[in-house]
Amino acid sequence: MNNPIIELKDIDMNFARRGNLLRGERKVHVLKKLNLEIYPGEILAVVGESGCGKTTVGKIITGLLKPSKGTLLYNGDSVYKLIGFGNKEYKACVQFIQQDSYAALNPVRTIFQSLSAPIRVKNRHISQEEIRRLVLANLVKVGLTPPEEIIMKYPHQLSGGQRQRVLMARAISLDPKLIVADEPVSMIDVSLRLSILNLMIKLNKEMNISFVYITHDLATARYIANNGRIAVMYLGEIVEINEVNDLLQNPRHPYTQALIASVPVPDPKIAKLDKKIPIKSMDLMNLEKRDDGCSFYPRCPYGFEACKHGEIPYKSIAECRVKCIKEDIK
Amino acid sequence: MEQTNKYIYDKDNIIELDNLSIDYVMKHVSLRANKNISLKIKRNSFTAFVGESGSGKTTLAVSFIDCLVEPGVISEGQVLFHSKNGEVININKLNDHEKRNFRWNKISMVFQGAQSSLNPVMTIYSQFKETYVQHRPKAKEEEIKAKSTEVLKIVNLDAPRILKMYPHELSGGMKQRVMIAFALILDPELIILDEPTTALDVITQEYIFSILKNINKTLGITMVLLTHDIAIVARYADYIAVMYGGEIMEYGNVDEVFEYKYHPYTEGLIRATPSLILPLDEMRPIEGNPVSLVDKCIGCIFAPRCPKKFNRCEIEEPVTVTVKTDHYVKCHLYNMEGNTHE
Repeated sequence: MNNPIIELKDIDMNFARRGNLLRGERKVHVLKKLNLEIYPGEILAVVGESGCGKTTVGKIITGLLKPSKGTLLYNGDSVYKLIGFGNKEYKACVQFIQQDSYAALNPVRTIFQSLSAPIRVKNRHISQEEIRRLVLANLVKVGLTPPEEIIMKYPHQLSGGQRQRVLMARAISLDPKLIVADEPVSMIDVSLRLSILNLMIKLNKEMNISFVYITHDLATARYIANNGRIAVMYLGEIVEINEVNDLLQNPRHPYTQALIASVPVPDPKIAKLDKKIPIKSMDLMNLEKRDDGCSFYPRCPYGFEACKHGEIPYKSIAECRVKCIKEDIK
Repeated sequence: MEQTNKYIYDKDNIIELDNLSIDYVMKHVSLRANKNISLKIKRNSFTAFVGESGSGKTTLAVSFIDCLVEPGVISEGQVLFHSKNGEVININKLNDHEKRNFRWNKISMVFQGAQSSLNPVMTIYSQFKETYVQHRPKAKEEEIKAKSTEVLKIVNLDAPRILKMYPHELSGGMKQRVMIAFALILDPELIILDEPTTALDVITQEYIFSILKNINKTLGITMVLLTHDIAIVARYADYIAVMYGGEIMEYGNVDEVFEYKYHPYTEGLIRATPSLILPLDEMRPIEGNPVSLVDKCIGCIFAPRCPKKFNRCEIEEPVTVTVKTDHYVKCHLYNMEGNTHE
């Protein structure tokens, strides 16, 4: 297999929580010994509930946050040691798309101003006509037509779906190798969600851009990462990572099983069947009080004594890596 | 409430919308958020209004408690509430005193975003008490305490502990359950649920809905759910009203609507919802852009995006036709009189 384009090695992330008179400064462990590789041209979906650290992973990959421990490798080199040209190349090649497209665009700048800025920063000797040509071409690539009209507009004049496409155009304007998309469709109307996902699939195929798709929605993850991989996160750890179809048909980690069981199905005949979510408790663990051992233990329906303490190792079964000590996992 | 005699009591239905139109009237433009809606919501049912943002579902539902935000006005029609004691109440004709007796006693609401619905500087108990005393001024302390314990028990929360807590000590799912308990505190006959599980993960979502369904079944409280997620509706609702651009495009029993998908928009919406079981090549988005309610539309409001449209759709507004018992569709395809294409 190819070398990974991005590699996260033993990433730990702590956020300090301000103390007060009664309590000192507290640390919240958001990510715990996280390892992840992203290969050229693949689509990887990162799925998890709110607060599991999936956005933090996205921000670390794009260099917006520096982890407390561990390294980030870009084409085998540590990003935190890159200087000069190498650093510039990493920053151009790894792009980020935010959830809230309205907040991500400057409201007092036209779309042309927003889209031309990154091109101008990357290449200072480029002519005005050339920039205009590139911006128009990028807008056509993301399906915004007619581009001549779009570039004159301000963000508030576009619909949510159109703004999300503008963000895509901005992300691809530097010919990136990897785009991290953080919940790009959660604020978009249902009828248009698939068209944005289709656009990402198209960019992946035509421009060979890798995508890290961060979401809480397993169904859209299945749609976009068809033939790709899904990583399931729980409280700062990747509990299971596998190829999409195998993961959905044969979930190995108890959390993945609970997650799949609770995704609603848009067909009353199947949806109305009585089902029980295989989970012990509804309440999440407090991140400040976490100790070692399996983070899913308090909610796990199996829960052995050995789960409580110590490092839980990953098990590899074919393409699947799963963090669980249950013995009958196959 | 003296209006009782003017209307005929209907024991099967709880809400009756009679040719209801709601407009937002602004300086230069007026926007019709709901257009000529006639619908009856069945007593003790779990009825879902499904639509995208801007389809008018929240506007429609807040008119049930006469809480339209300025500049919204009911420009045509009326909303009737058939109380189980035989009263019929015309909701938008109530005076201030009657409104106070009506809201929360008869219809309560769980608002979108439980995170911001609770007062951060008051304990849960004092908030329960505040609401209770506002509506029943003579209530005794013990009565309030007993009632709040009872409703928290219904949503599976440990009452003595929760009542002393402040909102920031609760998780998102717990806050939402507290909001549901809030809605129950005055024994309403109907609860409006406005996107009750946005910002919650799927496991918590499933849990919250199982509680709601249980309340619906065991306490016999009618539920009106407003959502954009058609998958949730398939699992929990009995009846579904599909809304688009302020109009109800299709209404019927959930099983029937999903099976026959009469209206092209219903079909499009079901296909556009990613799921874990449908084959991937059967999923596709609805083409085109969402409708703008400011632009006046002569024909069918869905026509610009409809894959099955024909000439008549663009020039004439369809009428709502009954395709089966309690199943209505607003589409020219099922109104054969005057159809020329077939």
